Amino acid sequence: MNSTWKNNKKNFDELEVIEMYIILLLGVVDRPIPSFLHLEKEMFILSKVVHSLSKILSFEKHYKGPYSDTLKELVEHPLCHEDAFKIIDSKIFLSKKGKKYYFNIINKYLKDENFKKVLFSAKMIRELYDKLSEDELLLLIYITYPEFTEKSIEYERIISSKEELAKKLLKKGLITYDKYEEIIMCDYE
Amino acid sequence: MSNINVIPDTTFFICFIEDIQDYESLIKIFKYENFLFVVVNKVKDELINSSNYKKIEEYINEANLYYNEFCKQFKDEQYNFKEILRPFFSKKQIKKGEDEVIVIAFIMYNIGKDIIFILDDKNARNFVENNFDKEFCKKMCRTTRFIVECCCKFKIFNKDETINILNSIKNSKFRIDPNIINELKDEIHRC
Repeated sequence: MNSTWKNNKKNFDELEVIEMYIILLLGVVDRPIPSFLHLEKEMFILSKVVHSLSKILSFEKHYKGPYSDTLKELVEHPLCHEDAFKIIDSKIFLSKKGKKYYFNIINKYLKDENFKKVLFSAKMIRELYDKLSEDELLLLIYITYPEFTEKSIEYERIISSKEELAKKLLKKGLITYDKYEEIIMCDYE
Repeated sequence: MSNINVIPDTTFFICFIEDIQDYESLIKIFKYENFLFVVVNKVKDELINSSNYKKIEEYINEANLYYNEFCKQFKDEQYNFKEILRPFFSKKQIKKGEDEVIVIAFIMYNIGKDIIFILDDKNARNFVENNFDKEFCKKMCRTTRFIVECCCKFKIFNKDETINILNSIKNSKFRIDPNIINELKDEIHRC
């Protein structure tokens, strides 16, 4: 693990906050997140919603869209919330200890209206983005945030099957018909 | 009765301000003491840009007094809620603010607020019904249904007034199946 993290208290506090957001995202809905890709992209969306999170958690352009090595490290080796996470068959969820952390956070902050807005934003993200397959998730991320197609090794493959993916999304009721038409008609390069 | 947070889409306002040009009825709804209007940013932008906005600007500003505290958060730079649904909605729908209405309604509902959110676009309505639980979906209604509720439930309008509003809507360019208007009129007679 990067030793500069331990030496820099400001970073340590930030990492604790990021872990809390991961715990909230995992805990707000009582089922595992389907994959690390889902966790990463959902945290990306959450950071787009919550400006203070975007200041401490940045994403870079990478092989599969927005990527954060901080996130990966913290899920595999949490610094402040020991043993909070479990990964089984690529699904990620809160351990028994992680659930305790989650409820502690809830009890501490639930009277704060701003906290509730963040919590239920996370809930909405989970309710929607968990339903996407990895390819569907990448398609929506790439076409919404095209800056992250740079360096992608998946983009060409995903875009070449956009019609099929869009049809599946429409059938699942996950995109509106207007969005479906937009995806089909648009010439993504 | 506790306060109900009403979160309308653009169509609701355009119906009264442009399609039927019935400012008096809109003001009556605004002034109902148990409603707190939550007007999301995009809807407010569309409203301000509508050709007849000036006529009710004064009343809209007065209605600011009734804006729920939550609405002021939209002026706060802390959150950008509409990013949540941005990947799922078309640019046209995002411009109208339908995604924003859904997100705000969802968050307020989960916080425990009593809400009504008004969505007329069929695609947006289908999206809600396909993805969220039934109890949340029950809080969603169309503009015309809301008008009926304003009569039968909230007693803002009497039956004759409501029938007149619905007739105006039927004869305007507001897109609705005339049979639905007739069904709603029957409902008003029975309520």
